Amino acid sequence: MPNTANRLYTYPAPGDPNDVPGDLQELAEDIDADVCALLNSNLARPVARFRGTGTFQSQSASGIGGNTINRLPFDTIDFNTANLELQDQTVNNRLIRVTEPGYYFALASVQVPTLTTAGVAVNYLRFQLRKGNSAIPAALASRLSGHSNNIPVNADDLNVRLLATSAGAFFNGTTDSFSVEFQAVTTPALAEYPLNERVLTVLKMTTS
Amino acid sequence: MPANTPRGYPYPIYTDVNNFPTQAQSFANAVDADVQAQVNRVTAAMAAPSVRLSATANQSIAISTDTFVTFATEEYDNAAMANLGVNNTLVTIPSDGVYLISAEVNFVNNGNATTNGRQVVIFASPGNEIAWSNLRGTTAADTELCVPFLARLLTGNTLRVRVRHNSGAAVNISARSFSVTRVAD
Repeated sequence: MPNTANRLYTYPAPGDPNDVPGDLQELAEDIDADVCALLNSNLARPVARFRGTGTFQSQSASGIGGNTINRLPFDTIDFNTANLELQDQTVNNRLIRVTEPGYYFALASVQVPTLTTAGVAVNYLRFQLRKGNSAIPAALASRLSGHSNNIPVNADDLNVRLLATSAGAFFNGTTDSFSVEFQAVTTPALAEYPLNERVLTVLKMTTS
Repeated sequence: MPANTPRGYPYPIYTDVNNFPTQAQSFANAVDADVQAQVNRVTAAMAAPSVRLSATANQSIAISTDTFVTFATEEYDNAAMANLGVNNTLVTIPSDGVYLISAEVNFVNNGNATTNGRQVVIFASPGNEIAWSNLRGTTAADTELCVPFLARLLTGNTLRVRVRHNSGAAVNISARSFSVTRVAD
């Protein structure tokens, strides 16, 4: 019995024994199995969203610049058809690994409340999306995008500002990982800056 | 003459000459072509035209002057959307569709007491400014601005990132990137 060119559905040749029900059944089953396999595969664009819930005391007193202690932790996976992998969320790790190669577009945000510690001035707030290496989690992650300035959060922000940043980038599917980082610089230096919820949403745009 | 389903699958009618192998072949080939077309469509959607341009070397921006941002590295480009050797500021849209765009720039602090504002604009041509973000600059620390935007664009449209500031002295921009990816027809 010959097959079609693309999907390899079988159909009878003119010289085959005359068996209309059997031939029709075979063709129908080929099509049925193929369509079912297609529908069962993920036809929608792979996406993922990770959240860090509740408050988090960011270790923010270090100097300005990328630093693994500035990575924000995540604890909740809202959806993840992109098969991203939440890595160890202890300090100096906190990466979200991309397990399949491709170009990914990501949007990260963090809710930054007004600092209520008396006598402390906020000099700088930096929020960045970076690409880290899961094989060397303590290594500095490379910058993808950022949102930073020196304007303290106050009543003009209704006491909570949403810092957000986004970028598209290629991830190798083995070690490349997302790193979401926040840093505050204050006078006098403050060991911790409280943050509220943070979110990382990712769209997979290509497969290579 | 066989009839066809709405998707174009042929089937024999009662007055047709009885030739089951040929009729089955026609039906199988029609379904084959249709399913393959759907598979190709999904595959194409999963290879969205995408680009990421970046640069880290300082680019000086004069006071109160609209300036297009230059890029040095094509980190990713699966649809020939950029050609930095020909124009290091430009992304060209390869096919009609809705595109997700993100432009972000780091303004280096210049120490000048007159900080004033910093601006990043996504500039489309033909057209104009389609999205922007403004923020007060800083004297002693960098200012990073990021502009995400969704836009319906046509084949051949171009995109650029434009910056402006009104500090008391020229400002350098350092790390910056421009990401564009097609998300829908």
